[in-house]
Amino acid sequence: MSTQTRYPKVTNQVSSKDSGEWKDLDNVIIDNWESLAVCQLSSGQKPNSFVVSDFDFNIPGDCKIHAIDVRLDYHKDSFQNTIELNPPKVRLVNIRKDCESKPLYSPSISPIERSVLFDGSRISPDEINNPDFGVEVIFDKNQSEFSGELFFDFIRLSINYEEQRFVIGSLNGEGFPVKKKPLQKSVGETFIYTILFNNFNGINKEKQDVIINIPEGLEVVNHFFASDKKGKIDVTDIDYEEDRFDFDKMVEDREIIYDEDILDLDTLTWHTGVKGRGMSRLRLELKCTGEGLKELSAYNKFSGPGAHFYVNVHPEGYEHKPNIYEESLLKWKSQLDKDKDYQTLNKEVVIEVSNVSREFNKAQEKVDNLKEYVIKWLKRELKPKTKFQALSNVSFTVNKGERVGIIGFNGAGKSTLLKILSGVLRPNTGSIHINGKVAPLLELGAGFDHNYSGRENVFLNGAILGYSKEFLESKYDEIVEFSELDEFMELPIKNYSSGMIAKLGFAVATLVEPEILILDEILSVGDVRFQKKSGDKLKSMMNTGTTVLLVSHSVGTIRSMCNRVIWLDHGKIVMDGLTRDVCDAYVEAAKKASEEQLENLEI
Amino acid sequence: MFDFNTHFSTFRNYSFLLTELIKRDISGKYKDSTLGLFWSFLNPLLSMIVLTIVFSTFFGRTIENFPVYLLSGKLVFDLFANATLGAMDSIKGNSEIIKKIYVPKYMFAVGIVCSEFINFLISLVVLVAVMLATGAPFFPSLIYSPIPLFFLLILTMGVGLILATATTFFTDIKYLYGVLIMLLSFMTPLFYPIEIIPEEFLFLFKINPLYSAVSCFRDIVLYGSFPQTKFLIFLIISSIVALIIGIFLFYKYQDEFVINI
Repeated sequence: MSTQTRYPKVTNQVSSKDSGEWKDLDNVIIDNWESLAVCQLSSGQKPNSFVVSDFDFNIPGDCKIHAIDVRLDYHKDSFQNTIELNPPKVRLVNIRKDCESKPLYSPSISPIERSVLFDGSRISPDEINNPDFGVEVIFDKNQSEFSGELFFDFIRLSINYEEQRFVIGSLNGEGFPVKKKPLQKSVGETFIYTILFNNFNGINKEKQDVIINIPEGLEVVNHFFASDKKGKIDVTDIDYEEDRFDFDKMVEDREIIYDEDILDLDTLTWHTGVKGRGMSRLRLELKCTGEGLKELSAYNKFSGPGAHFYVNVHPEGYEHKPNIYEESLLKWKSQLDKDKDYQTLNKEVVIEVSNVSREFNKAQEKVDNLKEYVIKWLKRELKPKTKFQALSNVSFTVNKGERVGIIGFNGAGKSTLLKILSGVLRPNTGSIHINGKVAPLLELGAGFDHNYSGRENVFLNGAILGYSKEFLESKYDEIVEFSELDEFMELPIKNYSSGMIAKLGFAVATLVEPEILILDEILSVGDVRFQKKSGDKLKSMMNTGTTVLLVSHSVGTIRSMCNRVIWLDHGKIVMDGLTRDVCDAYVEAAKKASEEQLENLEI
Repeated sequence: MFDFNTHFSTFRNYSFLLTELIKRDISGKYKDSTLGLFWSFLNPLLSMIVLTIVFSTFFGRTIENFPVYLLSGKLVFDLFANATLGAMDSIKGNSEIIKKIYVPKYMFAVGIVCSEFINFLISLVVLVAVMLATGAPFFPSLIYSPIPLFFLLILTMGVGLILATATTFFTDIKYLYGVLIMLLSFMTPLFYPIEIIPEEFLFLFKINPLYSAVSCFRDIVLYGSFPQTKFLIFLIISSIVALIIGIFLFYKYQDEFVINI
């Protein structure tokens, strides 16, 4: 919001024979208490109306004028018996549509600055910049039987306007990659570059183009849009000293200000969707194909270039530290996920669970051998099986990149659901559709043969997870390096410590880059240093769009890891929504739950 | 219900697992023994020697080249016995994996049957050695040997799947089958000629598909002829029936394995 304040340079009074002449009218140009224009008025006489003009405004042509604030000071002489006048009419002249208004107060004996406010929304900057643009002050006749003097001290105009403001921003998360601290990536990896295009005030309602500069060696893999769809212009943040102005007038022409975002991938031009106040967001998923320091930027002709984004691409396979910036992106991602539009825009369902039910036989006594079975059958003692419904009619979908936590009291069906999702159990009714490679990190090193060497177990375990020989061979070195067990790989793992086995299991399970990760509790593997390393690995997988399903007994873990939570109780979904909402409701419910239900849970 | 294409693609995806399992089964068998793979030869060889010493006095005159007669029957029977026993344990033995990770469960049963079959092929070296030592002729009919062996494999697979399914629900099947396999070994003419069996009990042998398998194999190895049609047809029919029943039962009950093991 800007304001220009000017005094007029030209005064002009319209004389007529029965109206009072202003003396020293040019003094209204001078704003001090000594230089006044004076008009002697007799009873029933009105002063000449006068026009002040040539304000020498230079308001940018593409601005939106909010208000024209006319400040003026008039007062009467301090004699006891003197003139009595109504508030003058103040009129804007030489504009397409004349505006007229009155200040609130009649001339009094003390010099007080009065204000007359005009709605500027229908007045263009050109009209105001015109030297002929002026203000006419029209007093009515003196209503008093006495005569006296009317003084006019000054007249001053303030134009309150807003320039169009487009700002290209980036996500200023912690560790924004500046030139000195670029994002660390290696060839083949992907990262996310976000451009925010903010139309701060909606003055310019034309759709804007943003040219994106992506250097060679980076390749756009994917792009997503997300926008603030406020839909309305809202000008409530104008703060005037006097609130006489009818703000409602300014918002009466409400309009939808958002259109579709389009990204032209050939020219890398983003036709932003924002058509008024609001923000368009573009999220580019870029793949590194060449090495070196790369500078990314975006440019709009009004806003200029946004912040430059730097990424340092290392040779393939280079192991870099996790980027702080990407971790702060995670937070942003969870904010975006609240946005329903974003959800629908980026819907790529990877897990679809529809009407899944699973029941178990709840046998009073388990008959697990043929002899007993036959005897009981002969004695007709085989009890009808009572059914226990572990899951009933559970339906939900998980989109790519979501981190879904599953909570519930003991016996709620969490592990049954997890087993069904990982394919170990099959539902009785309903269907599961999973689109992508699932890595169940339910138990590390399940299927390790203790007589096998570490090397052989990598292949055996990889085979159990469903990978091919060629794939495992190509990943073998990476797995060995990650597990830090290089010198032990040829030893049978019966000689390993449990920590070493877990490390190896973790390396096999995660280095195969699964699309969907199923976790039963967050894994803490090995020593403190390896725990951090494995934690970093999980985080970096989440950054690259791996979908995560996590069952945890700790609400704290869920809160810190997930952006969506499904709460199960007695085999049914009680609540499915944002982490905070669901966790809060869950903790509330936990207060009423029985001790048995809460055993081992961490609320 | 049974979508062949998806099953085939799953099988292909997990084919590396099958080779790994076979490798594990074979190497696991000999890994810690000093004799190693040699045990594969030694085991049938020693039992052949003992049995030959004991029984050749009874049947030596009616059976020409008793060692080859005995060995050709025993190798076939041992393949069936070992493989079905192995398959029976395969689900329970890998319960840790099955309970944790999705794996096509039949892989474990198929894996052990295949590894036992490979074991059998290795031990055929002993048979060849014994044939050389006893001066037995090598007939051109040997080229037919894959036919009965293939159906023996099918039979073993089918029975293995049935047993693997049954043991997950009834643990004592294992002991019952131990008795059954012993009975079966006597009901298959391994070290005696079929001629000594009285007429009225002969039907018991005729319904034993292992008798058919052993007879087919002996026809090829010992007598230099194409297997007798009645034996071959019975072997083929029984093996296919066993496989169908096996697949049906396994497929029907495999989802309940997880909760029973």
